[in-house]
Parts: sequence; structure tokens; C-alpha cells
Amino acid sequence: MKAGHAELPADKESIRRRAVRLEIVSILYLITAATAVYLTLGNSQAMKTAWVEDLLSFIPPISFLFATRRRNQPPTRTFPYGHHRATSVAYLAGSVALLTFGTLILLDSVSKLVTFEHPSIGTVVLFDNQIWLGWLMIPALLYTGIPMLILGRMKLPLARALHDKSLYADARMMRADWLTTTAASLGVLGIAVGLWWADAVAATIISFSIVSDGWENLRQVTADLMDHVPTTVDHQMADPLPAKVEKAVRSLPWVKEARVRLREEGHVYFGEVYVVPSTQRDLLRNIERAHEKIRSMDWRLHDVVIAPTAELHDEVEDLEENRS
Amino acid sequence: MARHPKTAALAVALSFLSACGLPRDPEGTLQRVRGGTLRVGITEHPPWTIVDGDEPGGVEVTLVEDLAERLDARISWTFGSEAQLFEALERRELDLVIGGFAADDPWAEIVSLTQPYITIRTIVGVSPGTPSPSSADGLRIAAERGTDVPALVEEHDGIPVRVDSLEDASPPVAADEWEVRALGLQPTDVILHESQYAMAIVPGENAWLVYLERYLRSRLSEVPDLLVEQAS
Repeated sequence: MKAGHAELPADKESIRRRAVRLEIVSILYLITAATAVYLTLGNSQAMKTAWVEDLLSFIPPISFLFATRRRNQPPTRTFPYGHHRATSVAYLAGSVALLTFGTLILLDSVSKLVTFEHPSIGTVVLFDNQIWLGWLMIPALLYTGIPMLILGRMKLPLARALHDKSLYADARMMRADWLTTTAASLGVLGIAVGLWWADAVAATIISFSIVSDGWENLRQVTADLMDHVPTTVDHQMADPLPAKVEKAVRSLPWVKEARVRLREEGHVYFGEVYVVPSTQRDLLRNIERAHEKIRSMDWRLHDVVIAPTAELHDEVEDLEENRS
Repeated sequence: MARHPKTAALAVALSFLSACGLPRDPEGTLQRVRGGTLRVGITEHPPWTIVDGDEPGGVEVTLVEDLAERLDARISWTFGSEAQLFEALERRELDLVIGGFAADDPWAEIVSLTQPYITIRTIVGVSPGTPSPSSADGLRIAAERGTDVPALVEEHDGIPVRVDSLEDASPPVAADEWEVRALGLQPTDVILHESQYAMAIVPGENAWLVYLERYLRSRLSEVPDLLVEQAS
């Protein structure tokens, strides 16, 4: 039984290349956006959190590009399952970073609020005009917000087609960036009209959204690394594919009973099909044919082993069905 | 302006916003000071601030007195150390603290400073008519004892000659640019350090901050003369 090491079928290759291009565009754009926010940072806590979020936004595209180089490397003696989980590792690192920095800046923002810290924002000289820095913050925020929204929208369908959870998380985070833009802009406008607390409140909202992004991503990637049953890319429900495979194998004439066990390795599925054959005749050839059939069902069925067995062990039901 | 029509339009739009009285002070400092009392803390740092008896003097005192006149305000001076004055400023008992604060001072982190309104360079000065050295490297340079200047000379590989007063020191000397001029020496291009000076302001009062920063910028060109005047 052989499993090819290239994950994606030819028709998905062009989508992958588009995703790579989009991620490169994202990184280049993020460099300019983070610079724009940095230059107008001033003493605003909301701007500071928006900036931290911009910096954290670098992680998903970079980890996607990293994983995309790594994932197709063939299995070796030291990495016999290949490198598919490069995606999950990158995703894990990103989630931890989001959670850590989110928590730090959340504490910082809340402490500014409870200590009644009034943000001072002065003037800058631009083309010989002395203007209030606050007025420059809002265009900088819009510049980081609007293209993010568009890029996020463009990535979402690609993430679904590629069954790429890190790309999906990236797209969703970018799409949700309007919250940052709106909150931070309101914070700055609040300072302008003399509401000192508006800034810290906006910062608290933004950092809270960073923390919850980090928590949600961490929860999901941990589940994936714990070999949770495969889920759809939005983690909303169990992927119907294992059930379909089980049904297809059961319907084979030589199969008495079958049970499928799949797990996600990055973008693709690995797993076992336990089969209780009704006859031992031509067993090897039957297994080979069944294997080919399974492989042709879906590109994600990357490395599936068919294991003939005398009887199936009882399956233990989950005490609580948490995520399907 | 004509070369940047968009910038000009932006500037017009932004000055419109300022005309609406934005940004505003959360505690209304600017409004209260206008026609009222400007509460200024002062700590000595010649030539910026000089405390002699009850009458304060110095470059920043001149600037603040003119500011008060503009605002039609009376000044109430409070003399004290940085620690005392910054504490009072933080608690809104003062509106402004002056004392020749540099933007790279340690307390710049904990108090609100205005944008630096002037950059002062510490340079090497020589006797008029003598050629300028290209660097401080290996030169014996007079510097005032008990200041950071001898260390700056050393940093630039010069040999500091510590003196009690620059008045009777033999050139070259290292000092702030205005000091070099006041001593009747010729400034050179050998720059040892740059410091940017600012005033400390009550935090978060952004209308007051913007007003003060605009005022300081409008006086920028006069500061070097004020410094020389103060020294003589």
C-alpha cells in the first residue's frame, strides 16, 4: 500500500498557489499597516492594542507559508508519517502567542482604566502643519482595517477548499478586524471630545477579542493534536467523511463488519479501517482494491490502513458530546 | 502648499476640527486657566529655570510668563524638587512643571512631557579664527566639572580637562552651543550630544497640551537668543 506524499490533487494546486499569493500580499500589506499604526501610536492604549494585534496578524500568514513548504516533504525514516502536522504546530504556536500577548495587553488596558490614567496626546508637525496626532490615528486605523476585511473575505473560500484550518483562522481573524478599527477609532474620538476612559475601554475590548481568538484557536488546535475526530474546517461539526468510508467498506461483499478511525494530520486524514472479513479468500487482493476505492473517495483520505481483524472491540461513547 | 493640494485640503479639514474646540480637556484645564490662574511648578535648572529668592527667572520662565499674558492668566509659582512637583502634577494640583527637562531624562517615562520644543547640541568650541577640528579624538577639551560633559568628551575619545568655570578655561571647550556662543568662542561641527527640551504637563488634558505645544513651536526661533541673553 502506498501513499503519495503530495497532499493536494492537481485541481487544488491552483487554489493553493492563490492562497500563497494572498498570504504574501497579506504580509507585505501588514508591514505597511503596522508601520502606519506605529507612527501614530502616541499615548493611546487603544492604538497600542491595535498595533499589537497587527503584529500578531503576521503569525498566521507566516505559519501558513512555512507549513505549505513543509507539508509536502516526503516521509523519511525519522519522520515516517511525513510532515503534515507542520500546519498544526505552526497553528499551536500562533494560538499561544495570541493568548499570551492578548492577556498581557488586556491586563495593561484594564489597569489603565482602574487607575484613571488619562492619555495625553499632543501634536505632530506634518508638512509644516502642526496637527493633533489623534486626527492621524483614525486614517491609520482605517488603513489597517479595510484591506484586512477584504483580504479576510478573499481567503475564506480558499481555506474551505483547501481544508486548511490555519488559513481559515487567519481569514476569520482578518475579517473580524473591523471590530478593532471601530473600537480604536471610537476610543480616539472619545479622547478628542474629552472622555479619557474611552481609550482604555476600546483597548480592553480589542484585547479581549485577541484573547478570545487565542483561546478559541488553542482549544481547536489542541483537539486536533489530540486526534479529535475530523471536523469541518470551521470546526462546527464532525466531518461526514469517516461515516461515508465506513458505509462504503461495509457495503463490500467480503466484509462482515467494519469500523473506521480517522484523525487529522494537518490538512489530511490518517487512520485505520478495521475489517472483519466474511471470507479469507482473495483477502489480500480484496484489501488492495478496497484501499484504492477509499483513496479515490476524497483527496483528504491520505494515509488509510486496512487492518483485517477477527472481531471489533466495543466503542466507548463519549460522556459528553462536546463538539459535534 | 500648491505642490501638495491633498495635504493642504487635509490641513484645512483638520484646522476646522481644531476650530470646533477638539480635542477637549477631560477636566477643562485650558478653559479654567484662561483669565484665571496658571499653576506652575518650578525646579531649578539654569539657564532654563533660575530660582533666586522668590522671583523665578530663566528661559522657560520667560516663555511661561508670556504664555500667561496671552491667556490673560495670573501665575502661581510653586518651588520644589522634581519628585514633589511631579507628584502634584499627577494629582492635578499643578497645570505645568518647568525645569529644563530633557526628553531622554529618566522621568520622561513617568510624566507627560510636551513634544520637545527645542534641540540643544553639546559641541566643541574653539577660539575665533582657529581651524575647526574634525573630531574630538585625542583633543584636550575643557569641560565643566560635575556635569555630564566630561563624560561626553570621553565618549568621543577626547581628553576632558575638568574646570570649575568655563569662563577662564583655555579653548577648545565642550559646552552647549549657546554657551559656546556666550563665551565668545567659535562653534564647530563636532557634536558630542543632542538633548531635546520639553515641559511637563498635567496628563490627559489634550486641549491644554495642544495649546501649549503650538505656543512653544511659535516661540521656537527665539529660544537660542533667550539662552544667550540669559547667559550674559
